[in-house]
Amino acid sequence: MFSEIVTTFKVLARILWIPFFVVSLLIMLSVDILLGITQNYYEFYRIVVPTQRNSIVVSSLSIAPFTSIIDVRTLSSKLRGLDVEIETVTTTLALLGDRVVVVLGVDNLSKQCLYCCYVGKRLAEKLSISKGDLISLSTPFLRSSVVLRVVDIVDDSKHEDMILAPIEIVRLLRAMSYRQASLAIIKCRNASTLEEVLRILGVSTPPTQLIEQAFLALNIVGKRIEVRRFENLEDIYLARIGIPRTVMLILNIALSIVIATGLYFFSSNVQALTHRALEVLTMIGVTKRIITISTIFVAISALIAASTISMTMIKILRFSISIASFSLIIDIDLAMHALITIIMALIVVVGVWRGLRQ
Amino acid sequence: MVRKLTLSTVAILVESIRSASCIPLILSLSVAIAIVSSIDLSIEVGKGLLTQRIATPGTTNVVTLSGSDTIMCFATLCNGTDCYDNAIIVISKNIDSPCIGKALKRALGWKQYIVAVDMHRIEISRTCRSNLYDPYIAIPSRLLPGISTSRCFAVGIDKRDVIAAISNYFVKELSENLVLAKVLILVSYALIVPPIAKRFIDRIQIVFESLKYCGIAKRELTASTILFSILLATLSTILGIAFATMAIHVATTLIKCFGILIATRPLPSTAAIGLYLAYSTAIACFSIVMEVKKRV
Repeated sequence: MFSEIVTTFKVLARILWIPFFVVSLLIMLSVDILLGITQNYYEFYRIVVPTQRNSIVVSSLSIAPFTSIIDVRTLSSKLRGLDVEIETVTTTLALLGDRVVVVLGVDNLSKQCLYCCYVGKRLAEKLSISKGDLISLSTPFLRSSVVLRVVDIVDDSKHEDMILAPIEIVRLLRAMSYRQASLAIIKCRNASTLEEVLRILGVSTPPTQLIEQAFLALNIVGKRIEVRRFENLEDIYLARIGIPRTVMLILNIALSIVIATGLYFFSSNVQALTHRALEVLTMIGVTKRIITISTIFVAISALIAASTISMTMIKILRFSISIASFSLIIDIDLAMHALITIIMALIVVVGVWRGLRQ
Repeated sequence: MVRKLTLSTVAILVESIRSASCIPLILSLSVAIAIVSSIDLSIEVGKGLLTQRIATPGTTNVVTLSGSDTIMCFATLCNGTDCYDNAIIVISKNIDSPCIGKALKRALGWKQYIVAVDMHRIEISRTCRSNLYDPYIAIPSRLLPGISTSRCFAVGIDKRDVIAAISNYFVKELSENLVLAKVLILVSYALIVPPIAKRFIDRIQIVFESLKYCGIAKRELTASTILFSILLATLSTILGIAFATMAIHVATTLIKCFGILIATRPLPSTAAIGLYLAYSTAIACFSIVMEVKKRV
């Protein structure tokens, strides 16, 4: 039986392998690109937030990334006396011409030049901005735009797609007061200080749970401030609109399955491509079961090859997308890719089995 | 000729409906269109949500650097203890006394504001009434006679809806990001259709043989196949777009369970409908007619 399967596999592979490979590769690539885009949009906010071990990121339950505002003075007074360092991040989205850009506030820039900014090299190239130019930034939070002078072009990989401006100017663009910031990162000396900070902020954690990093969102409920703990920064924004991360994951898988239905249509019509070969195989006594098993093997091997090539292509070709003028490279989550490949394999098996049964 | 064409098209149509053999073909064409249309429509929903969620402040005064309505100058701004170079001040004939914009005052939080330009030193104690000067310090031009214009520049003021511009930019950016994925989906489904068309023709081959036997010429058979393909492609496009629209509308209704109210109920644009109709007609005609030509 094994030799029969091998012979049938060889015959069918000559006809079916390439069509299966091409169709699977195109479908796999489109799914990978779509999931990569979703992932990049989801994790975009992380670009400007430096997080590390034994730290707590405090945000507000804001309506969208780059709109969070927290009161730093209240937070500092709550943590007075503890061995912690509070670092603030002040950032906003602004409109420059027709393009949306990220503006990050930098401390101690204002003394030399208050209404000045540094522009990342890639962004400057996109906008044809050079040193000494004047730019006008508008935000939805301010009724008049802010004119800034470009002091220099920054050639640094971390900031090449953004504008760096004095912290006072970013507060101005976001209509914040001097006591506020977008986020606060509380850096603790060790895990026990981190637990103490969490306790003071009113976050209860099970005694057995080891905490390395926490993401907190402050929300005003009536007259009191409610603190909620999250797995990561992005979840805070999804939580604001009421979507847990699991829902995002399910949506991604559902989208992949819908796209992969094409593989079902293709697999269930393989006999249209192998019509003559199937007639010959049946004539020489190869059973329907062996034909089905061999076709499934051909389809699965082509699918696995397509999945591997798709992953390699994404890694090598480095497809880039743009989010708020940031050029981001699409990357794929290996676990998700493997899961989608398994789902596609199941779709192919059902398709081939149903197609050859008819 | 017209009668024969109509008859043979109807015969192909009736047989394909009777045998239900056209269902996989319609599905394979409409699924691709449904996926791509739902991507387009969800972008529209996102645009609506973005505009709806951020409170609209109305129009914003946008400073344009090519105008000549107002003069802006670089000055030094001091707070009593420290001085900050290169602060931008607005010099205008339209104000009575020096003032500081509300937003600037809030962002700096100083107790005292002193502007130094050339040899002039002006203390600011009042907040500007007009939101045009929100991010600046405004000084009446009469208080700065003979100011050196080397550090000044003329600007114009335009009105613009910043929220709409931001929404449009994000939608444009997202649409551009998704182009490659949409093209890949359409191409992969275009490759899936030919084997399905082959199997479809296998199933209704008896109609072609009967029509040939009844004296329908090869040319008329090809023409009626083209007509049938156009009908099939139109039906698939309508089904695909209808399904996508319905799915997006159901999703926007269901999302209310998560507390998100979306007022936008997007509909596909005429250009998109035309594009998808052309896509499905081209694929259906190519796959079906090529297969029929081989056989008759």
